[in-house]
Amino acid sequence: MEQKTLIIIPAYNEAASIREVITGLKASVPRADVLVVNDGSRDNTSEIARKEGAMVLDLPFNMGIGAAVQTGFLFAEQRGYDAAVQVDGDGQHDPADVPALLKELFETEVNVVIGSRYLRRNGYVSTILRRIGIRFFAFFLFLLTRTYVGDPTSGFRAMDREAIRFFSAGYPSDYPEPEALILLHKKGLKVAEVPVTMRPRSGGSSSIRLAKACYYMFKVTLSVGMGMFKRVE
Amino acid sequence: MFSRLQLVFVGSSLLLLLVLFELIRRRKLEERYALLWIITGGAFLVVSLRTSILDRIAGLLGVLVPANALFLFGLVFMIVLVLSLTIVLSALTRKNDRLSQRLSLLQFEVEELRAERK
Repeated sequence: MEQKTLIIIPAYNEAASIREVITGLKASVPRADVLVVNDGSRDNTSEIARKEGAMVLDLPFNMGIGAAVQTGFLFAEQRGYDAAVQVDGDGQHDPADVPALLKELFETEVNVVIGSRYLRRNGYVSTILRRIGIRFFAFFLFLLTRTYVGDPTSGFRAMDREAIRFFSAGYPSDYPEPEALILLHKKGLKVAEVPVTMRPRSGGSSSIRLAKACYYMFKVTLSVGMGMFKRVE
Repeated sequence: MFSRLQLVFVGSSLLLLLVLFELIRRRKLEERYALLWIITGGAFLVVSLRTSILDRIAGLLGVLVPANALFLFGLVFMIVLVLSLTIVLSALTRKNDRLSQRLSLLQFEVEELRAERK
């Protein structure tokens, strides 16, 4: 039986890259449906995505990545998809890697497959500070869950029905990826990683980077730690 | 007899209760959020009328000047109120998120149905 797959692309002001992401996905996973969750973009992301033949959900205002992705899970849950793959709208994730994620998801017992940029020694691995931060979370999460995920901040993920149902009921809000791993652990769902190649984000450096990085470290550490104490349905 | 400070406290608690009454009457303040305010306004009024209560509490806490105990209560009330507001805000944020998500999903379905009818 053919598996019904939904590609979820959360997009906020991605007019420059969204066309390429959609055409890339149509080429590498032609049978999958592509859903763009337009997170209150002020540019014409939504129009471009529609023109490229993607399904588009328009959120009424910018709600943050977590809420946008969760909207995609709600859609997948309502329409009975067997799998959902989350792909960034900025072109950082290579559509050619999606089949590998799905293969791992369908052929093994895991519920979530994460595309990791650290299992393969090529491509973009980001700045040294960011790598240190990611290593810190990988270690912290390993201590808590006893499962090692090398790239816990990666938003390139494939999920099965069970994970879709779980996350459509509740998903962390901002910088959701590491916290989502804790929730999966508490729910007893299994996670695996496959190697992918990531490309550097096109543009977008800001003057508030340091403050943002501090907030990121604080917020994610708190929410990962608290995640261990939260009740999951 | 009443000291000047006591008069100020009695006056301001009465004023607070009056403002609360007026806000609720004009439906600008929900009863359930007014509860904490009414309790505080009432407590302030009672304590400023019967200062012996304040003296006893100050004695218990080891506060030397009874009026300082009153300021302490004011501060504690502020903390409780701000915390409860943050809780309400978090709940509102979550509901707002669910609502907007539901809206976008329904919008999609409307467009889909409209396209089917053509």
